[in-house]
Amino acid sequence: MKLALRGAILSTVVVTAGCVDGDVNTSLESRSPTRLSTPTVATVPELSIAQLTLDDDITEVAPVREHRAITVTFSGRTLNLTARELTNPVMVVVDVYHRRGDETIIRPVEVLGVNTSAQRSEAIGYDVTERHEDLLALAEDKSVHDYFVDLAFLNRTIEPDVRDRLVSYFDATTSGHHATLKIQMDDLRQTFDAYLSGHLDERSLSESAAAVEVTLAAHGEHGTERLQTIESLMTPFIDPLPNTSLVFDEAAGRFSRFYHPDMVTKDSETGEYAYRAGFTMLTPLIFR
Amino acid sequence: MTNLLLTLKRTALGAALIAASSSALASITITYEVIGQPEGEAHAHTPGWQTRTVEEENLQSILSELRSDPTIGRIEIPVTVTPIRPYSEESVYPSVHAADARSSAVVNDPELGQQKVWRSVSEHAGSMSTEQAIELYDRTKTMNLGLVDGGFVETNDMSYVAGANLSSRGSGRGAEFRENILNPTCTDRHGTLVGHLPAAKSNNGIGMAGIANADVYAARVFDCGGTASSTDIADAVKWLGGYTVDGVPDIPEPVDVINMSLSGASACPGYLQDALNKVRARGIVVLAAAGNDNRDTESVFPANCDGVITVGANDFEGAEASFSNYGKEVDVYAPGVSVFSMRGTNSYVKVSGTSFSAPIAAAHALLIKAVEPSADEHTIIQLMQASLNPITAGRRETIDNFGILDSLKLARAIQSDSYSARPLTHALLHEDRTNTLAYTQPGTGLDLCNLYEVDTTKIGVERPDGYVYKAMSVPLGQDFLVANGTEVSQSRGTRLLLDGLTSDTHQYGLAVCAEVTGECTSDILINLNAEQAQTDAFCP
Repeated sequence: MKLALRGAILSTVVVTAGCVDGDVNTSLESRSPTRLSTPTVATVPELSIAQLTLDDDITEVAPVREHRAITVTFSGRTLNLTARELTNPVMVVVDVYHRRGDETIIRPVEVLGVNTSAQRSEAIGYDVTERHEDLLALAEDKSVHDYFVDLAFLNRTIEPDVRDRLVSYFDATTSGHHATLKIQMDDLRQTFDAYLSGHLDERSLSESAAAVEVTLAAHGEHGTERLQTIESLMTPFIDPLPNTSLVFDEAAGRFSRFYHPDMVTKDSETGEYAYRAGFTMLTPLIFR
Repeated sequence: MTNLLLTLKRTALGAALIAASSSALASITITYEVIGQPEGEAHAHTPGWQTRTVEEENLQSILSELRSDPTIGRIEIPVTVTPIRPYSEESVYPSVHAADARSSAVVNDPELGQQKVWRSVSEHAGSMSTEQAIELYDRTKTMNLGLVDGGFVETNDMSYVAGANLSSRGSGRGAEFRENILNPTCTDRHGTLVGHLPAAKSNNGIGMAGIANADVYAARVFDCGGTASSTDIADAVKWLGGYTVDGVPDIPEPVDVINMSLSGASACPGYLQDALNKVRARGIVVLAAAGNDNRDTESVFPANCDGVITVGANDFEGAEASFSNYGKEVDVYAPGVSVFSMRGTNSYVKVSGTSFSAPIAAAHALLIKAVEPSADEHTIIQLMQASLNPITAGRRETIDNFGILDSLKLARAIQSDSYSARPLTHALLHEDRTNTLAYTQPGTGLDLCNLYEVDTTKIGVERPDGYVYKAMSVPLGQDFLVANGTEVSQSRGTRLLLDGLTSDTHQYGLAVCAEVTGECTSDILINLNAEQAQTDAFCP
């Protein structure tokens, strides 16, 4: 559900729901209505109207879970979904009734109202919720750092004690921002949960996300410094890293210094990332 | 086990001399170390420890003569040793009368129900979960267990492949070692009680189940009165290690593990340490009981000897046994209170004492060596200390130092598909490098076929400032000594790289040596188990 909230902003959404997208529970003797077990999901961005076109004429729409910001009406085979301005993501649920011959079909429909103005903060909240320990440890930076140190050791470019020393020097807990960041990320995770459940609005989320973004950039300086220290060990294998700090990459939906456009390309059809020539050795480290 | 180098000098003999001179011996065996040769007489003395039996009346003059000889180093008078008597011994009935008879999917030995050692730690905090572990261990290979003890008799559940009487007392040395034949009136069965715990035949429908699949080699050093000489003990160790010893036929083959459930109150005698070093150099692992005096093992040998795995006793509640010796030499604890064992055919007892903790740990050393034949005491201690009973591990108020060995955790640790404790591996098989794709992609410049690495953190041997780790190769068949080694790698860090292995012709070992002088902290290399490490998996 969280991923669905990050959908693109559209003024009108048309969804076609087939009639075979759920298990059908039926009883021929009683001819009682048949309820599809898998709900149909539609999204509607705030301040927009979306339409969901179904296979059969709609005879009735019965609310199951309502919200004042989302209105669901119908006409023929089409559900009209209208979203007012949102301060949180919301979801309403309706049962849509169709007639198919002598049979009545009940199709549950979930309508997600997307709070488009908070999508960046939501994405940060999601990334921090999923990766807070890795972000605190600068795990992505460290995996790249330790790999090239290890490669230098295995190639006998550096002595074993130098390897030990370099690996031990990358310690994110020594960053002056470690304690603050931990508190701010804990706060963001709680705020994000409260935001998703409607207890806090987007202003609280964006403030909490902005605080983490600033502190994480400062915290990431430890990784920047350690990676610069071993640049001579990396250059036999990859091009110099672009001068970028630890930032939130909106397209990738994650904090990283390794999604810089100078380093990666994104396939417009599949959405998959690939490293440009000069950085391909990062592929198994970052795109695991 | 202690890592301290022995520093006994001639002047340390006073106490031993007094003890010896108060005995009623007409003749006394003394031991001395030949440390040099007179100029121009290259073969005047055989180097190393020597023994000499002298008449008591001539002792002082011979000692004076040896002390004035610059080619003679340490001189020692043998210490009288007693076996570690059971703290308590209680007869029990066979399980046909017992309420807690138990069946097992793995073994059908009728007395298994009385063997609390085998129970789950969830049932008794001080047990070892052996019953759950036994399915995981590879017990297909029969291992060789040497016992330095006395009171050996054969039972219907344990037999001896070989044995010898190495006691110089009484009728003297010889091939016959069974107590009931040497002295039919003697009721001592210490070695029998000790031997059944690791080596009773399991799944034979008879008696109790031994933890390991082991053949027993009995080295009798105690007379029925329960005394032995430290020189006889040292000779027993050498005999079990395949060395020729005066007065007894050679052992058919060296054992894998030696158990010594005995103790004497002194520093480790140099003659015994020399014997221990000889067998360690052949890859044999030695375990010793901590002793039952509720004292620090620092002053109790062989628990305090270098290279010995020392075992303390715990009760089934998970607490240290009240009688168990303790201290930094204790490497691991195992059950030693009310332990079920056999003293003869259909004769069962519950006994208490570190004498019974040691063979339980020795059984696990055998199970490790069945998987890892070259595992030495460093590897085994490392594995045991990483496999402690989770209920009691770290409870310093009850178990000094480390904790109770957990058989199930150990079994899981040495399963071949998850075994990560080997210090020497192909570099890409080290658990730090699970991202194999990153290391095998083009452009890394690595010679993957020959990329081996030693991770010294898995051995637990400290490297003092000014010292380096050295990896050495020793041709197969030669004693595993620094003196026989060729340096193949050196490091001031925790890791060493090796360019390929030739484990078909060489063993590989690790030493810690001074950078400037080259002097190493031990003459014996730490075995790196190269035959287990070598692989073609990364070769084209």
